Amino acid sequence: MLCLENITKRFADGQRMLTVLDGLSLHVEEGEFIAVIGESGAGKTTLLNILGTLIPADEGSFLIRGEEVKDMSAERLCQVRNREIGIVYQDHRLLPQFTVWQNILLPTLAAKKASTDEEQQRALELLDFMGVAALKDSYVTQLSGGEQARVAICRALINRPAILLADEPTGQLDAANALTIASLFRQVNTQLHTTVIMVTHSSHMAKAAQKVYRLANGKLQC
Amino acid sequence: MLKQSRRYYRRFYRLVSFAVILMTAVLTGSLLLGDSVRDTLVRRVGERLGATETVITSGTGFMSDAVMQQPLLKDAEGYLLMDGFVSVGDKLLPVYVWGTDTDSLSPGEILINAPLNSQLSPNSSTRQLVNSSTIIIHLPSHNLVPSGSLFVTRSYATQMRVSVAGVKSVEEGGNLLLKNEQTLPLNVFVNRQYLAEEMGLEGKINLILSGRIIPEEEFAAVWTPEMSGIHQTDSSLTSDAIFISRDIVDKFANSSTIYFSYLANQLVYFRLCRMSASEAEANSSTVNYPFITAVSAWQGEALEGRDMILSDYAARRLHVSEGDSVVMDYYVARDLKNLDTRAQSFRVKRIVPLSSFMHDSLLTADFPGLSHVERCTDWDSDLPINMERVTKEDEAFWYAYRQTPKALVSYQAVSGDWSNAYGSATALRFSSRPDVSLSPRDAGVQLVYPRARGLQGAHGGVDFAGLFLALGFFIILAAVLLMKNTLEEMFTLRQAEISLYRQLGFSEGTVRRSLFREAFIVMLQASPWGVVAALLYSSLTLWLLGNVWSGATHTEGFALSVHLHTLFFGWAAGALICALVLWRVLWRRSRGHVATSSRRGSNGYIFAGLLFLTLLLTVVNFISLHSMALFVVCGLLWILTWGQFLRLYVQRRQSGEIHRIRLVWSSVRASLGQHLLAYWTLSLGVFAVFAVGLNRPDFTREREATGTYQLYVDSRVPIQYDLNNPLVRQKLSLESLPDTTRFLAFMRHTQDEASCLNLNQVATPTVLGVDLKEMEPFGLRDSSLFTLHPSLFIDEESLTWSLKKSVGDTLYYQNGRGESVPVVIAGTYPTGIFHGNAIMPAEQFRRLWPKESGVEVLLVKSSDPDEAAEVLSTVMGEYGLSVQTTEERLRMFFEVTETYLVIFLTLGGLGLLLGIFSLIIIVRKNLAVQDVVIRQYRAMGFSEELICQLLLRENLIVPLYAVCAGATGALISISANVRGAGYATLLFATLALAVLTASLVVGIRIIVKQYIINTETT
Repeated sequence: MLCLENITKRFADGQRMLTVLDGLSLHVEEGEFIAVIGESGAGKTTLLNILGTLIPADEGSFLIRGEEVKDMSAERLCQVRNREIGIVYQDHRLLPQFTVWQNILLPTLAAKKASTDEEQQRALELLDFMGVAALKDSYVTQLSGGEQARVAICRALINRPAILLADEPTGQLDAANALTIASLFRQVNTQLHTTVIMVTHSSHMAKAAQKVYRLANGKLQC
Repeated sequence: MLKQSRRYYRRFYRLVSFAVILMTAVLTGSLLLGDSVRDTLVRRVGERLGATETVITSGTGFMSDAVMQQPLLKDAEGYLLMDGFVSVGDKLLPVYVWGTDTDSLSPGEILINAPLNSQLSPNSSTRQLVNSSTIIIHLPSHNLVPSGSLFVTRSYATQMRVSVAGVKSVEEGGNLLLKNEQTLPLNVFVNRQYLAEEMGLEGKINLILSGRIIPEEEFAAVWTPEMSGIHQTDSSLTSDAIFISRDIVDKFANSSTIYFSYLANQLVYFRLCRMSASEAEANSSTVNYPFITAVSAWQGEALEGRDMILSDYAARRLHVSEGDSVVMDYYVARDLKNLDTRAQSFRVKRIVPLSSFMHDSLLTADFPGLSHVERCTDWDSDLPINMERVTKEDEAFWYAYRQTPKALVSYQAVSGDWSNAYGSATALRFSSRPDVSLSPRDAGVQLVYPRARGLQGAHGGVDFAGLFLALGFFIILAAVLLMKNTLEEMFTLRQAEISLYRQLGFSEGTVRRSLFREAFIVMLQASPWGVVAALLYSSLTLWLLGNVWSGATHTEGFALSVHLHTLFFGWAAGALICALVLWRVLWRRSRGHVATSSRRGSNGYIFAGLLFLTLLLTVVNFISLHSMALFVVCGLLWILTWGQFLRLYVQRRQSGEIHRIRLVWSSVRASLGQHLLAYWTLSLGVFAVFAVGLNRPDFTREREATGTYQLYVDSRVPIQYDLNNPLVRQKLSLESLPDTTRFLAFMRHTQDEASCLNLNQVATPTVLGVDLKEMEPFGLRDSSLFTLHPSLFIDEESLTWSLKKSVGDTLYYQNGRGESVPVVIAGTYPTGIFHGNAIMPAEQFRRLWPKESGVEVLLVKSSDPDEAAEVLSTVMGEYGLSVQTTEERLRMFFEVTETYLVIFLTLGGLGLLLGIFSLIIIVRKNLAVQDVVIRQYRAMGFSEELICQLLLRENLIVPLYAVCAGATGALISISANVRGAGYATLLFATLALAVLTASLVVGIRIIVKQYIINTETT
């Protein structure tokens, strides 16, 4: 489903270039739950951004369902991000000016002006699935960290993406909430058949995944 | 630490400092402008009065220059002051001609003041004399005998060819002026003796200026009737002016015999009682144009009822005996020498020898044009004398006896007809020295103390501080908003820092005080620069007022006055505003967002109420009231209504159907306060600029502004004739006037200029006397109030701004006798061509100022106004007629309003720019906290264009809404006078609005794009 071959990513660090990913390769099959762990600064978020098509790789090939990302038009990239990929961030990135309901349905507006009834039904199901249905009309500033994380997962799943990317999704949560969220990711993977790729520095969280990779020196090690 | 924070956030503090400097500059600058204009007016009082403390005027008459010999007046100077004019090309320059003894001027030499020098030679500097050193001054012909009296006719103006010897500086009293005006007079100084000789007024003065305050009693103690040309002996009283005023006659009524010499048309004796007209001609005897004297008694014998004492000469010619009835025909003058013929029958009580009349010199009076001519046919009078009726016998009588009366008649019978504005007798005879004495007031002499009045006018004049605070209000508002927005943006970005302080255990008050100190020190540091900027702002504005914007003041030479207390007050007021703004920003921040859902219901009612009120007022005003002020209020209400609607609409936007536009409104709701701020800033700015820019009252289209008259004629010389009378037109060679030409004539009592051209507060505006029925076309309605008191009407603008009075208030004028007379303001009329003049019923005018006969203002209506203007200017050139179209006159006044509008537009436009700048800060602030949002949109697959579109809508929807509300509000405010704006102005306004809208769209789009790119690169 996802195929990364010899991915290299460099960033300018003053006068010199810093190589963050150095010939990284990764193959992800449909329905897999993969965790990527690594030290801070190892390049986990960079990898996730490349997987989320948010930044391009400098070198190498990245195929999504056999389609080369670097050959995709900007429009196609948006389409892929919107339809194929859902992302959950460490800080959840819920928009404070919107309600929970609006935040969840936000991705449905990327391609059209209004959300459909089917999408709204899906949102209700997801809210129910995540156990936050009662918070539908609340503003995100009124939610706890755990509730925000669940809403963020709902939003990431609203368009039925094939891939769910998570960047330290429990980084701001206490241990109990972290375990719950980890369990939810597993449920998403098993019940919704969504491919999950989670980057984390927590080995406890990584245990929820089927495969765990360590990112070090710009390469993934199994 | 505070210092480090200030340095770190210097980007924001620079903007805050800029706003503080701007606000303090406009605030303090406005106060400085008020001081400067007031001080300039006070300085002008000093310049125009010099050392003068007391002004002694002789009214319409003259005083003997011997009065200056009095020790009381040893430091005073006597003047012979005339209103004249100098023609330069097509232009008539009204000048004051001062006959003076102090400038060592030779006859035929004059000094002029600098403003006149500039007018005569506009291209030369004021130090340079006019190119042509010889000029001709036109003067009204003054004489000891009032020109308005019936027997006087002559050329009404005289000319003096004089050479300019130099320019009299301000310090030398070159700008001497007794009127309460700040505009510089055009003065000519000429040798008094020379002027007096040219005018036939040798040894006369009509003005004394003294450098000390002379109490009226002190002057009365040294004044004698002789000084005012009243010759009083133990046995008689006569006057150089021929006529003795009614007041004096009344004063001596019980102790004197009254004489009134008159030229009658004829004395007729009819032999038969019943006859046809042709028979009457054949059977009557006449004496044409006899001088008759009315007396109350003759040689101890009272003449009463229809008594007549006939000379033997007349008796012989009329073939009458004692007891016969003789009819006397005579002319009676109504207004402006319109003549009526009256006839009275007298019974011949006695016939006496002509010689007995000859021995009494009081029986005759020296009428100019009549008395000192060789033959009757040389008589020059306004009486229509038919010379064909003058017989050889009449000429022979004239040769031998001149104006010796041919008969005496009862004074009682004719005094009503013969008395005029100047008097009711030509002589008084006393049987014994009367025990009453005359006062200066009886002779029309008045004492005025101009300095106190001038200073009062200057101090109470147009409040430029208030005016420029109002004009610059939007700049101040915009600066305050800029300050507020910048501070809010900064504190928003420092939210984490503020939270950290709280986490570290600082109390909320401590944090707030710390932030207050940090920011307020910056404001305090900036505000002195604001004071410096205020000096520049006020200097620039004063220069503009004297040059580019001179249309508002018609005044040059404004000088900056700097008072330390004003600077301190301006600085302190600015600092106080800064402190309040800062305190409010910090206070709101600490309170956070307060849920407003509980107020939604009441907001709905408020909106509905406002909408209903706005529509109701607009419709009612549109249908019936047509009040411009109310339309402006309606416009503001409209903005308020849609502001309320915005609040309501945004608050009601809740979850439910998800739509992109709802996301936009949700974002607006999240920062509603900021968006409402943007709404008020922009909508009020657009309203202010467009409402003022479009609100051009077109006076020229207002019927009441001109009364449908086409020409406004101002005469330097009073016109003593009714120009509607065909005979008068013939006499004055005005036959070439179009037949349809009609005149409306106004008497004028010249006082202070009360129009918007005078910046001083005016106590007594110039009064025009006219029959009030004629004023109906000008929107002046008669009022019952003025039947009770002397009263006047004044135009609305002059009443409010120049007089600062209201209807029903009282003004105090000096009447012809120098007495202070209360005159009630009975009402107003719409501002038009009479702007700055009070209108008084003609009969009341004559009662107050009986000697101010003649008309000085004429309105002309004609089928060919251009031709009428041409004829009047040419034929009546010697009157110094200034002929202008009523439209030109309205434009002259409108220029003042127009200039103030331009000033407001300029300052309002700057304020609007500042408002837009402030809006940009709001947008930037909103975007600054959207970093996460943009990234999230992108992560969710929103295209860059869509993100841009959403953010653009979010940041543009309220500004555009505000522009629409402001523009429609402005349209409502001008709906009383949309056509006044004219199509060109409307088109320009539309284009300006389009440019403003496009600029907003483009500007905000650029900012949004920039932010999106920034988030992409970071």
